[in-house]
Amino acid sequence: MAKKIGKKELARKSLNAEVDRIVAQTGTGSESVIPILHAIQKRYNFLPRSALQRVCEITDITPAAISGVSTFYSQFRHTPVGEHIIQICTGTACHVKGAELVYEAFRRELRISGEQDTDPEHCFTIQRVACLGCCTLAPVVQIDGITYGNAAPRGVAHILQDFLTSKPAKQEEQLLEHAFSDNIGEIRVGLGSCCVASGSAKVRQALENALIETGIHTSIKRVGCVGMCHRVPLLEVLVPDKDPVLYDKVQPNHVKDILLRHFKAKSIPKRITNSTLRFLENIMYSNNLGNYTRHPLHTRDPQITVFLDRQQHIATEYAGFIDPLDMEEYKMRSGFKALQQALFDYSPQEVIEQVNSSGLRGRGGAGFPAGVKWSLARSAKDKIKYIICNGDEGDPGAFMDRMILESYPFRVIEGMIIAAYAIGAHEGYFYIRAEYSLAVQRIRNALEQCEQAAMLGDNILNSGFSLHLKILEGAGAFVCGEETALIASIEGKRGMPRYRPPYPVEKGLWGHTTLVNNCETFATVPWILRNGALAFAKFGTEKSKGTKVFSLAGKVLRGGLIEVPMGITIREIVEEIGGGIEGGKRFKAVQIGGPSGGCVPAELAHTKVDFEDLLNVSAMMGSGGLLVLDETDCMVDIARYFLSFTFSQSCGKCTFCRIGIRHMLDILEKLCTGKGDKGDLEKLQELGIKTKERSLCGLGKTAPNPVLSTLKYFREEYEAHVKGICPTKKCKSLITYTITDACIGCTICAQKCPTDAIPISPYEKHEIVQEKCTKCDTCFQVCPHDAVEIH
Amino acid sequence: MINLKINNMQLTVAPGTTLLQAAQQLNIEIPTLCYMADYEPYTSCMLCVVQDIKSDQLLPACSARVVNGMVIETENEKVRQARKDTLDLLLSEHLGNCEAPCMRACPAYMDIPLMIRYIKERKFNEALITVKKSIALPAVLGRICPAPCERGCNRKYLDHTLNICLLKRFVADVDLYSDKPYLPVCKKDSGKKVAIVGAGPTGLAAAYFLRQKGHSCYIYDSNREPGGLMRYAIPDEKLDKNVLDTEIQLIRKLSVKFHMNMTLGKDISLAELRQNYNAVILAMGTINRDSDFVKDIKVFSRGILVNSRTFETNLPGVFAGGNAIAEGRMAIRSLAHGRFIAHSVDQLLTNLPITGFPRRFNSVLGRLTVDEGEEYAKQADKSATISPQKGIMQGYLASEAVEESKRCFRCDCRKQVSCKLREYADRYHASQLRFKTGERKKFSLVVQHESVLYEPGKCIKCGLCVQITEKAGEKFGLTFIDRGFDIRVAVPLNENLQKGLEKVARQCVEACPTAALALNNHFEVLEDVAT
Repeated sequence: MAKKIGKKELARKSLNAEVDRIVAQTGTGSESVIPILHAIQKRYNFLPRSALQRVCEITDITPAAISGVSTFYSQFRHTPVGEHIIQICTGTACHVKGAELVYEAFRRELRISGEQDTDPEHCFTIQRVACLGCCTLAPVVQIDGITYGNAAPRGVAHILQDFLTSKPAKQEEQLLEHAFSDNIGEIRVGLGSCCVASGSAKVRQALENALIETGIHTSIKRVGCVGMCHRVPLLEVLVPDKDPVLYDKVQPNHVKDILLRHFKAKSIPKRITNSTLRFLENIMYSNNLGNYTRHPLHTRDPQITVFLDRQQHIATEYAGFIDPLDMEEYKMRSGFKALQQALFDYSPQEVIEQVNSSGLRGRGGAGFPAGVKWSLARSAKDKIKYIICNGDEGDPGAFMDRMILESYPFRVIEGMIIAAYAIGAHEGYFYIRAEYSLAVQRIRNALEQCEQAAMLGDNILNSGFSLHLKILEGAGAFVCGEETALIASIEGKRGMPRYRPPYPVEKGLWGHTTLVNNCETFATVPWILRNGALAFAKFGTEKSKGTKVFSLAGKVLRGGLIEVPMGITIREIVEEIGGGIEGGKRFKAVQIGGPSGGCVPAELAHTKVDFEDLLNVSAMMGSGGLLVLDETDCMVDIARYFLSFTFSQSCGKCTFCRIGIRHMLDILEKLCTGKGDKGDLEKLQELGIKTKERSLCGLGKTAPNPVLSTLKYFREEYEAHVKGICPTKKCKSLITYTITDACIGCTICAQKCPTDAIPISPYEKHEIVQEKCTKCDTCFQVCPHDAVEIH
Repeated sequence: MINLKINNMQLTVAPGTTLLQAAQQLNIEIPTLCYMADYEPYTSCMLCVVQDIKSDQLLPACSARVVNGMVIETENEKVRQARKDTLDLLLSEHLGNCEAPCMRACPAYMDIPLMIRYIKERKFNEALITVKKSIALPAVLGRICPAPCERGCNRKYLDHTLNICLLKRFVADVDLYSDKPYLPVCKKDSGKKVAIVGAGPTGLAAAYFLRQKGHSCYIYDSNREPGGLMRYAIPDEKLDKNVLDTEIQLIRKLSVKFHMNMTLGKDISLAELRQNYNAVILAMGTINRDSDFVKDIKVFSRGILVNSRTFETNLPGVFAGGNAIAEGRMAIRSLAHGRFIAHSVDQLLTNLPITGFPRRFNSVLGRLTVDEGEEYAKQADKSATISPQKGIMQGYLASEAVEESKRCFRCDCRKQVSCKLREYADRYHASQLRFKTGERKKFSLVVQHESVLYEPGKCIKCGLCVQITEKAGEKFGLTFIDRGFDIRVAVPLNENLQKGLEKVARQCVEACPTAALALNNHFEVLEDVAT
């Protein structure tokens, strides 16, 4: 017994020492609570109660604060978890591509039952997460930070095996070191999150190995997102005096052959294999004029041409060929020129005038004119002012902010410094979603470089202007995208919004004047200053100027990250840039604006991308998620999906958002399970309108939009659900799977069925045992004779 | 300074003033739940919305600031509807009963939980007075009542309902056989006279309550002895007629005049009664449809037609109840009619609008699971039901009654009078069922504090207690846990409530707009308008 107590005592002491060490690094102020919790969880995989108690003992953080905060944010766990954590992305794109089936398949494979979330061996803990931002690779699964794209229910065993056998090291970024004096040309590897998720890190590894093996001296260059996420991993080879060549969907075993095609090996070259030769037939050529042109790709591939031609890169300037963290390259491409202009040629007032006359509106969703916000912040009499970059992109199905932060960290920082100069702020924060670890890493790295180069800190570039920027990582709360909630979160509180006015420009962080802008807004500012407000205002419509970045995903042929001029129509985006619907299906609708937005039906696809025009069709610009839906998508299910998202993200403060959304969701769930009643649709609509009108913040005020817009445009689908019919055969409770006479008894379905609901009967027609069927759709997908029917 | 108009009244206030404060300057009351002076407005309940006429927006008055030229209306149709919507939503997740289900099930609307509490404290006299506020003949009813109240008792979800009827009989007997049985105080003579036809339970009860209001009562009955069916239809072995006589004697002592062997339509006419009395109550039991008074009064298949709330007939000043309006088997129902008619008649005689017996808004928890029964049982005795040692016919001994009373779940609300949610639910005619779309949450009780009872299901998440404990520097205090629909108030780090509320328990209880936080031994009694 004595020994046992001794052990306990020892454990307590070591835990205390660990917490003390963490606190020493993060600080003891009440605002440090989120970083402290992150650090404790990183160390223990969850938040031990005794660790939280220790924090309260040695900091200003109260028990009420630590319990309140740690239970508010969904990233924090209060119970121990398995050795590895499987995160199933439940973003919109993943949802429409069957994420729920993948989730269930993992649970079956790992024998996790009932309320449990961890397998019996405590090896894996499974959880659904909000969007991981790799929408073009949907469905996406992340295990301990390793991302797997295009997951299918039948592939889960394979994914687990791959994870356990390869156990890849944590993806950590280093600047690539291949600096030989005789380096010829360069090879660009896309290393945005989508690329990495599709295996570009492995491609890079293979590339490095191949360089050593072949003795070729060339530089490997990491580039940010190219935008063509539907073709990742991408690899581009540049050799002087020759056309650049872009390879898509590259596998590690292709790499050496690609190398040998362009460079002379110092060691003995291996023969190019037949398979690779065949593969090389499909490459895409690009013949731009060199490294430093404004238009990166002028390709002969018609698909690429349409994908890129309609786009206009401002926030994403130099997409695909700038190294995100190479400050020198950024400078060579006019980086920090706008900052110099602002600091030395313009007064703060003149900067604001430029932004004002450019017509730039906030890109976070609501579209408030940026110049107006800035001048309000400027004219505020507060001596202390703050600037905040809102990178808390939480919409399922949107990944613009992630991509901008990952690919153009210097541009965002530059825009922020300019804004800070304009309003007179000397301190600021990046508030970035914790799920975006690569973005956090890159911004951190870029901030360090800026400080070293005197672009940040005291007396920037000897201008006399000073600005200090810090990063705060969110912890899983969509509502923190709302500026007052975001500010509460930075202050170390639960992310609960408060009533506005007073707006943050009047009373923000710690009660001081605060300017909050979205990172895309900041990323646009340097271009405006360099090219002039009028050049920017040339793009777009009367009231919505410039360009907008969208993440195009869903049932579209070419998904990816696009930047288009305002005023482009939805049809142009879907059909020209996106290449239309995949699989020859009929275009049904576009969900625009995520959980705050609405569904624009195909008949209204001539609607322009414009803040007001979108509102007029019951949608919303939102932050820029653009999800394409085809005829197989159930609109009631889509509405339920978005509402269950906002339901899970509501902070729970105001009555209508907390309870009204619950009741709306109850009704939708009734409809999707065939329990709808007459009058449900009217009640749904009434609750939707009232919740919109009477909620406190933007979350509640927009949460009913997906429901109201689908009710408006797809009411007949709702009415069918009231009668117990799902016209698109998506709602599981309303459908059954059967096997028709076309079955030849090949037994594939029986072999693949994860629940043994199909007894094996070779050469005979198979039958599905309905009681066992989980409607996972596997049989339907694998049947080579289309003998599985859904009713 | 800022100029604005509220409810068509012009006023000038300092910038930064909230609409609520501005309205207060005009003595305009705006209902609030989550707001408390001297604390940060939290803007969560949305009850205080008012309409900004120019923008047609609803603004939360607690937080919205005045703007020059604003035109505000604080109580128009749109605002009232918005407040009702808010209340309906809050009530849709409100887990609790305002009044206990036993009380709601009692036709006479007797405050059963209060009676039980008095018995538990051995305050038998107070218990009897509580009973007699609703039931004129409790000793009789204690013997013959089929006790619908017991069917409402929540204890049945755990083991066996309380023997409410036996408890009532116990307090009634103790009083009846005492040296000086209880007689209610009667107001001084009003000079008004009421004729009551029928000396059965309805008539006796009506006389009992009308006398207390100071009105003279004259009972006409065709039988030789008063009591109606209680005397003539119930066998002696079930009801000892001495008990009936003794209880009627107590009513007689209130100066009620009895005219026996008088039959309406034969010995006396309705017209005569209407002429000679200020009001007439028809409580003669099942009506004889051949009788000539039926020609003047509207009847339908079941009996005399009355307004179901006020018991008025089509003839002004004439009321009817008991079996005269519909046949029923329960004496308690007829007795209850007598009580409610007395209320209406008193309104008539004091020149008030006749509204009927007031019923307040009632939150209803509904059926319990066994687990939820266990939650309630945290504050009740676990013992099995107590059977009278001397047999049912003899009733409880004092010790048995006290033991049985300790089994009560106390499922009525500790703040049934002071609860702001209930007050506003009444004011805005809220409905708890309007938004009933799914399963309700699980009921739970936190019985950890020496004086405070916490009912999470009654919490409207206003956060006042969180703010109060923070401001007071409680070591643990209270905090919000989780978010969204699952958000709840709890003591941080899973500590118990005793540790959470060391300094400001009483303040939190007082600030709590509902009974989520209440003093455990606190109870409130509605001032009974009928007595």
